[in-house]
Amino acid sequence: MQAPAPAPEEDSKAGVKSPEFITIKVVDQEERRPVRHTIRTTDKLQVVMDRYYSEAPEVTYGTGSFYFDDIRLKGDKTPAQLKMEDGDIIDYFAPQIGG
Amino acid sequence: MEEVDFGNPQNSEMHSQGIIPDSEEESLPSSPETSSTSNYDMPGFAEQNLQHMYNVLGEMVDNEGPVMLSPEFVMCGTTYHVESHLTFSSDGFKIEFMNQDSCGDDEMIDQYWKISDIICISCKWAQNVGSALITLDVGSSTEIGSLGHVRVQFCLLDPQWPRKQKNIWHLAPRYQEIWNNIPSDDFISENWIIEPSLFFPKQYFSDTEDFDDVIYPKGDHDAVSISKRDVELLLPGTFVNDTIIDFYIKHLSTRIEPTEKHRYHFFNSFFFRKLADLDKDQGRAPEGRAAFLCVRKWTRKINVFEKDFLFIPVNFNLHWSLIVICYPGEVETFEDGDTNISAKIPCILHMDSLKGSHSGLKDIIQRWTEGVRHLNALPLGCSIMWPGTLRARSGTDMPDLSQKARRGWAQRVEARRGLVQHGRARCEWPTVRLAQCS
Repeated sequence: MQAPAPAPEEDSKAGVKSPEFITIKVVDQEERRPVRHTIRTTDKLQVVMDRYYSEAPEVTYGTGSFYFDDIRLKGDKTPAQLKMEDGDIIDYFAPQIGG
Repeated sequence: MEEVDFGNPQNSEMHSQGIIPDSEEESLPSSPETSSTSNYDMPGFAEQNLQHMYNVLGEMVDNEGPVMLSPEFVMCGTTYHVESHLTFSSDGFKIEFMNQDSCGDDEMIDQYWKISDIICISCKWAQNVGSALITLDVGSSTEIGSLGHVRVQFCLLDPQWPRKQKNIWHLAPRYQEIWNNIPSDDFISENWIIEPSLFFPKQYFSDTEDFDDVIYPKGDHDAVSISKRDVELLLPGTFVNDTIIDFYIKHLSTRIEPTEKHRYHFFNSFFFRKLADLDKDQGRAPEGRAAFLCVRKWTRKINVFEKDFLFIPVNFNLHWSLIVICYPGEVETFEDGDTNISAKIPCILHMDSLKGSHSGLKDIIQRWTEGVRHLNALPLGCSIMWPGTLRARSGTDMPDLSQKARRGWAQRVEARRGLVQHGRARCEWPTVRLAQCS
């Protein structure tokens, strides 16, 4: 993993401890369909998003947004960067449009 | 507060790259035809200072030489040119633009008209958004065959346009002779029909085929990522989405003075969704505690009671509006019936361009504020008294306010505190393009 990342994660990987696995739950607002996915804290969150889309075929891939509390998730971030812990919940929101 | 200039609903700046904070419009010279009556008219001394300032900024202020303009795009006849440069000189007018037909080479093409070929120039200047719409009718072209009569039109986002206009007049007397200023302070004048495609030309957007995602503000951990799909929502007749709203909020908040920033908090467009969905889940009105808990982490970095204004974008029934919680910290001490006009009156404003919708929003928000107050370990013992939640009316009883209505949410709230007391307020949310969306 040579990917540029903020220093703290790099340090933890440097030997203090190996990446942990955590289970993250994605909850959407429409059908309350929780999608659980276990990833390393150093994996990119895109994996979780892709998992959600695959479990929710009626949701067009790439639409909507994922929030960890008030933080809008981007696929290239990792749980470690967001200090996510085991059992944390991600909200999926369908796109909001209006005039 | 003055920096929070939100423009008006016709503001076309969203689609442009003009995201640099403009200087305050008050400091700018007004367009010449209104200068005699405008408040913005400046004494000569101040103009000198401005001149100096522009020089420092490297702006084009040379009174002698040609005036160069770089609008986002130029509509020349029926063709759009992007990345074009326009030059007004004493003997003519030139357009330089990128040849899009060339195979990847940055070949510039120019078109030139002699000053005698320019039939007339129409200019419409909108001071409040700092942009001008300029139309040139030109005769035959000497460079590229005979095009006959051509209309060249461009929209310039440049607060210093009035100065540049004067500079053009200084180039040759003919410019001023054929110059036709369309007197209006806005773009929505009835007798001036603007081709909407000029502001949102499809072709302009079609150039975004390989549009790369824009991260705004760059480097911000909470930046908004705008994709091609989002940009396309700025075309006329489309609804704007949460990304556009969140981007615009970010854009506006960057224009607040750093020393003032602590007074405001802007929630993102899903905060309200989260609160509202709580109702749906439980099938009954949840208590403040539940409302507070479901978004507790959204506010963990701030103390909402230390803010003067909390802004909550609302999306409901395919319609955007805005809730502003004013002076939440004053709820503790505010006494109903307090008639002191200068008092900070806690209240919830719902700014909505539509009439008679959005019932029930008050409960959702008030429940949350109660929950926050009780569970945030703030001093207890006082009951929450929101003096009133105002449904904005879109009546026409206060025309003087409609002018101010373009100035911005926050300013507006300040200005209306007095009206709030009397239970009336007229608010329109000057959102990105509400006027064109419904």
